[in-house]
Order: sequence, then C-alpha cells, then structure tokens
Amino acid sequence: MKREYHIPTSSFTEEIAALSGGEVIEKCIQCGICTASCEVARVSERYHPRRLIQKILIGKRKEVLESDLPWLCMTCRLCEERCQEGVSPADIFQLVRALAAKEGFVPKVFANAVDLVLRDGWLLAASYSDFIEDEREGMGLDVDLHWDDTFVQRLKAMFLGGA
Amino acid sequence: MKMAMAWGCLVPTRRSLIGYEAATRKVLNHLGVETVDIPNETCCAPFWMQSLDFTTSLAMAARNLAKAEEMGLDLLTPCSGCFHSYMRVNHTYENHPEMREKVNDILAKADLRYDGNVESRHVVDFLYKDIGVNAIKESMKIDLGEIEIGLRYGCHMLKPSDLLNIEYSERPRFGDELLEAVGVRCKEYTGRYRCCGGLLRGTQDDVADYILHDRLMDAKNANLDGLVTVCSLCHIQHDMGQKSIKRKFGIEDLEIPVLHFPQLLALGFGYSAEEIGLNLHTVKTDGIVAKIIAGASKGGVKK
Ligand code: SF4
Ligand code: SF4
Repeated sequence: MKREYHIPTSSFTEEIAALSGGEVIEKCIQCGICTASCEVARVSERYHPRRLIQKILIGKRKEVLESDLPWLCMTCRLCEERCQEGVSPADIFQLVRALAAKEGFVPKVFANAVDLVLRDGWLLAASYSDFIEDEREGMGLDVDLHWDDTFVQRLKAMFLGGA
Repeated sequence: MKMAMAWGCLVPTRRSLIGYEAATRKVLNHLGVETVDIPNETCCAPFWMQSLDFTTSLAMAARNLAKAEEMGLDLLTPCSGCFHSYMRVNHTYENHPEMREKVNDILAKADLRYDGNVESRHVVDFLYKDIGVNAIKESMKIDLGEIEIGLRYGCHMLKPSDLLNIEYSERPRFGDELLEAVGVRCKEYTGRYRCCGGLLRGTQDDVADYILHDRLMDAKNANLDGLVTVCSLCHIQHDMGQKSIKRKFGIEDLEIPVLHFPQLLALGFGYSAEEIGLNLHTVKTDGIVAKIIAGASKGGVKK
C-alpha cells in the first residue's frame, strides 16, 4: 500500500514562513514539548503553545490574530531551547503579534504601555515618585535619572508605520 | 577597565531595586571597574515592543548602543530584559545585514549612527568572565559561609542561548560557581530554573500570580535562607510580589528574603545592609544579614 503523508499547510502558514523567525514552522511535528515546558500552560487552561501553532498550521488566521493568546507568551524561550525541530513558538508568536498589530488588534494594556514610552522616552516616568527620589538621595544615588524624550520624539511618528 | 552602564527603567525606580543599582555600583567600583552612565538613556524597547514594530524598536535599543560606541566603550547592564534587547541589535546586524541601514536611517533622524561595534554584557556574566572568580574571592572581607540560598538565573539572561551566548544549559552553573567560591551554599531545588511569571505582571496578573505562587512554594519547601536573583523582573516578582501571594493564597509563614546577586557580594566586600538598600526590600532581609554577620564574627572575617 502506498504510504500517505499529511503535510499540514495553509496560506497563514505560508505567510508566517515567509517572515524571519517563522521559516521552519512547517517542521513542527506537534509533539507538545513546548506545551509541556511552558509555565503559562501549567497554570492557564487556555494557553497551549502547541495548539496555537496547530491553529496557524491549519490556517485559522482570523481566530489567531484576534485572540489574546499570542500575547500570553512571556518569551521565556524554554520551548525554543527544547524544541527538537528547531521551531521557536516564542518567535512565531512574536510574528503573530506583529501581524495582529498591523491589523489593529493590540490589547489595550500593551497599546497604553507603548503610548507611555513614545510620550516620555521610557515606560516608568510617571511612576518615578518623590518617595523613590528621597530613597535614592538617601543612598547617595543621582536623583535626576537623565532620561528624556528627545530621541523618541524624533522617531515616534515611525512606530507602527506612523500610527 | 571601563564600561558604559545602561540601567534600564526598572532598576533605578523601584523601591526594592534601587539597592541593586547601589550594590552594582559599589561592587564594580570595589573591583576596579570604572563606569559611565549612558547619557540620557532611552527605553531599550523590550520584546513586547519589538513584537509591535521590530525595526523601530531595534533602533531604540541601538540608540543607547550608539552612545556607548561614541564613547568607545562596551555596554554593561544589570537588567536581563535590557540585555536581551541590546544583544538582539548586534545579532540582527550580523544575520540580516539589510537591517543595518534601516536602523541607521532611523538613528540619523537624531544625528546618530550605530555600526555594531559595542559588545553588550550582563553584570553577572561580566563578573564571572571578565573579573573572574579569583579576583572576587580575593576582594572578600567577610565570609558568607553560613548561608544557604537558592540562586535563580531567570530566563532572559540566558535564553535563547544562540542569541545571548552565555551558556546553554537547563542547569547553568557559572553563578553558583562564583557564589560557592566565596563560601555561599547554593541549593539545588525543584522549580529553581522555572520562569517566575514576571513578564505577565500588569497584563495578566492572575496568571502571573499563579506562576509566582508555585515558584515561592518551591523556594519555601527548599528551606532556604533566601533567594538570590539576577533579573529585575524576577526580583520584583519574588520580593514585591510575595506579600500579595501570601494574602491571596493564605500562606501565613511565607517570608523568604530576596537579594540581588551583587548585593550578596557587596555584603562580603564589607558594605552595610543600608548602603546597598537591603532595608528597602519588601520582605525583610534582617535574618539573612544577621546570619552572615554572626557567621563572620565566629572567625569568618578574612582581612
Ligand atoms: S513547536 Fe516544537 S516542541 Fe512545540 S509541538 Fe512543534 S515540534 Fe513540538
Ligand atoms: S516562550 Fe512563551 S510559549 Fe515558550 S515556554 Fe515560554 S511562555 Fe511558553
């Protein structure tokens, strides 16, 4: 009998495979080592890196891009180190988030954080309080952190293609 | 030796991390390393920003590298997240040469240019490789031999190993080797190498709490004198987050002091707990400090 193979592929897979970091997605054999290694998967019912890769392989583009699941990856990259096929779920989800962002699906917390960075030059300007200034002074550390927004003001317009 | 310092946003601004900065400055100074802060440091544009706009994010990290390059210095950072962003720049330059021009086009808007000549280093790796175990051992004033700690490497200092190029191992040893050389006992325990959930703090607090709960219980069951961290997020999770885990999960006797790697060395170099901000940590560090001092007064004072 002729042996048959199932080679999972979809236009969404092609799209990811064309991007740097996503090239080898089709090598995924769905072994689940990534899920078994993932701390997020250990505590969250919803998050399974293997399953998310599977959804890409079978072409659930809209579902994946609109989902908050790719944003749950902490990029700890244990999966990447362990995957025997050289696939990096962390890189793939980063590409998925980039596509999602281009199409306007950015979870609010991330959008807000980016806005802060692009406004102040760094994320924590607003939370750098007098109390911390006092503690720094007490320890002989510089109170003026010398961060500023000069640089981000110049490139701000470019971030996310001028959003 | 002279290094350009990139402190990142967390270390200088979080109550329980200021001591990380103070101790790092003192330890480097004590070991004869001259440092100069990157002028007007900009956000390193960490992974979550990279995933939104990779090229512009890379240019943000490259901005600080360009400043180091102008000074002719390599870059040193105590933050594993920043370290990752900086390493990503040179790595991308090497593997995708077309990105050099893209990044430089953006930098040109601020009259800057980065040519990829700066090496980025994580403080702990720098202490181990460039300063070396022997030099550190010789600089110790008091013996740290009475304590048993859990050293947490965290994720972002080491993974992915082909990018960060320090050590590929699921059980790294270099940090243990350094601490053991100065007498500290580093305990192997379940969960020691697992992620702390820090990157989900603020975006998925519930998940971050469950993961942190598991890490703290791992440490609690190991009966440690304290935890030692090398990553700002890992420290925030274990120290500042401990109180809320205690409350949320009703674990009354949860009280694990958390020290930064350089703070432990600074104690051995003879600095006081206050000088290195140990009094600012959320979980009291008095116990572990007292144990070190008591051990030292039993004849552990070296010089
Ligand atoms: S990404 Fe790698 S580890 Fe995960 S299921 Fe696919 S082959 Fe297995
Ligand atoms: S990198 Fe993401 S998917 Fe992989 S183990 Fe870590 S959290 Fe899970």
